[in-house]
Amino acid sequence: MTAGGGGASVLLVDDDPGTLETLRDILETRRFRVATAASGEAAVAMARARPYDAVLMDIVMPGLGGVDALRAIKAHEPRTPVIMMTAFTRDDLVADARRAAAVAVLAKPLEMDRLLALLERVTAGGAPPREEPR
Amino acid sequence: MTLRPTSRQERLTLWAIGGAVAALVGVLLGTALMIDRYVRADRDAILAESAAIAEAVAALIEAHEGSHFKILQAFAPRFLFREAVARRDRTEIDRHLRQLQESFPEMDRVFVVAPDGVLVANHPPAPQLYGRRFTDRDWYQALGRDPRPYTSRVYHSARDGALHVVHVVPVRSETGRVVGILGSSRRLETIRSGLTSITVPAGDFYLVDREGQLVFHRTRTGAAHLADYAKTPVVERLLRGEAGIAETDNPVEREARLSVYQRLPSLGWGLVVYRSRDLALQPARRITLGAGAAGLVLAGAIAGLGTVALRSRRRTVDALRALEAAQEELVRKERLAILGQLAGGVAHELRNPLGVIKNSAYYLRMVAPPDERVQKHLGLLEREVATANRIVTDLLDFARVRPPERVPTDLEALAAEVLERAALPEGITVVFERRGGGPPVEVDPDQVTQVLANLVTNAAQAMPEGGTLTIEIAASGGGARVAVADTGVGIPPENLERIFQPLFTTRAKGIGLGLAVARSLAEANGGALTAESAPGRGSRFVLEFRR
Repeated sequence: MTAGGGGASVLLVDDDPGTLETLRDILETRRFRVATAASGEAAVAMARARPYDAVLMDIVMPGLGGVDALRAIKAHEPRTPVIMMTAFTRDDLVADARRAAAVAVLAKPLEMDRLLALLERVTAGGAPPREEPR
Repeated sequence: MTLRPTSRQERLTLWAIGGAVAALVGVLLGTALMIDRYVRADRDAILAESAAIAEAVAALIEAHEGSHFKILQAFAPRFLFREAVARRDRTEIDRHLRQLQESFPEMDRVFVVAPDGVLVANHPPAPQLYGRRFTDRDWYQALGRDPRPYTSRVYHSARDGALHVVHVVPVRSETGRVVGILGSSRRLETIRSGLTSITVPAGDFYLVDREGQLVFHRTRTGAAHLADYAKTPVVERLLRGEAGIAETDNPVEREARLSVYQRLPSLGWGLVVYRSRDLALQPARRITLGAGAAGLVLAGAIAGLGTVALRSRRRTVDALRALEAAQEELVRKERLAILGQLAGGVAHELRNPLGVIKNSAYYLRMVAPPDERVQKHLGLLEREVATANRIVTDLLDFARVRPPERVPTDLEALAAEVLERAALPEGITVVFERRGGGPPVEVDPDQVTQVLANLVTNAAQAMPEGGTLTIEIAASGGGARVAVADTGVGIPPENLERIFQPLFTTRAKGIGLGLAVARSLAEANGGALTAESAPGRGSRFVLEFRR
């Protein structure tokens, strides 16, 4: 197993509790520091309260959707890398997320090795290639 | 005057003339009878054909319009939705209604009304109508009497003043109690646009609601006002609950008509299919006229007329067959559309739990001891999640219609990428033959990647015992083609075209959409996807983009 996140902080945002739980356990095992938010509104509030090294956020959520939350977070802290994920393959939303400068848009179920590699790269400050859901 | 005694010869001549006249009269009478019978038989046949055409039109309309009921009925029992309706949870109901309406934009509006008739939610949202009571509507009262799917009469919408028709179904709790009403409201204009494709040979049709108000009539375009057909003689009969065939005169169009009228049971609408009587009965008339003019040239006339009548009947039978084929095609398309769109709707709900299972397996693999059995079970979990997700993806791809974004694309690079990503089972040897590649082709790289991925998956599944998967790239017709071949079980000749039909599969796993999606994507990108096979030796799929 690789060294992993090296203590980088990640904000996980998803309205699905199972996704939050499992991702938190995986990321913490890989030595990321993880905070979670169950809605777009909560995520924006948390990102305004303190900076995170990366944000991993669902696109389709009730209330404030992922793309709007992404814009709000970017407006406050433009350098925070934000990775989006979605169970939908809604092209319009993926395009919106891209326009709003998401680092990548990943499809659920997630390919975890890819996600972890990406997270490690962005929290280490590297510029990752753009990735889209297939 | 005295009668001159006639000679024997004269008597014989008279007898002969008399006999000839009698024979002629007999032949004429016989012919007249034959013609009469023929005309009657022909007329009966035409009436029967008109009735059959009306049946086919009725079935088409029921398939087309009745599909909205099927969608509503499939949607109403969804657990989260009906729970939200029972709680009158507007936010949650809104979410579901939005999903429903976005999946089926031909439902102009969807709404939920509580059992007391109060509007709880609607989409697109019109909050000014929340809390409004709809107890005076015929659909509310009908569902109160008998909680079954119901189609309303034509009415002016409270929101936009346009003419609408509402389909409603009851929403029931787990115990079967009615906890609300789910409805879709459709503008007559929307209904009209869906029905104009149905045509009647030598005629047309119209639809009226339970009160005789016009729902559809091709000749009445853009009607903004209610058109009351209740006083039309045929509609009067319909409203009395009768069905049958009537010969009527249309005073407006000065035309005699054969009208077949009947109720459409699932929609409650009355259908009148009419054909111009002159046109429909033309062959019979031609027979009568022809016989009168031709006089004694009986044999020729009868033979000629027989051909005319036969040809005309054959024409009607052909028209009928075309109508039936159209009906089958429409039913198939509707069924697929419903399947695809509902599947698209539930995909989100399926992919999240699948994602969680996959994450859990991943986590367990990170922390579990390197015990062989534990690892085996984790592998099983991951593999089955992948299978389930592939089915969901096939359904989503099938439901999704995205126009291709075509750019110059190197097929060889795409194929290499697909092979690299494909998780092929052990025992499969890959051969990648590049025969001079071919020029770049104008296609949507994502969509063609998907076609190739489906072909590779398909080839791997055809070789459960292992074998050789060959991918071959070559120039072709100024463009390029990719062939994906396997050494698997092969496809019997009778199935070679059917494998591209949606939902056709011979495999225990999968639902038979992979190749259907592949072909439709190939065609959307200006290409062709064909299959050839030698049963027992393998199959070869060729994806070709010519210039």
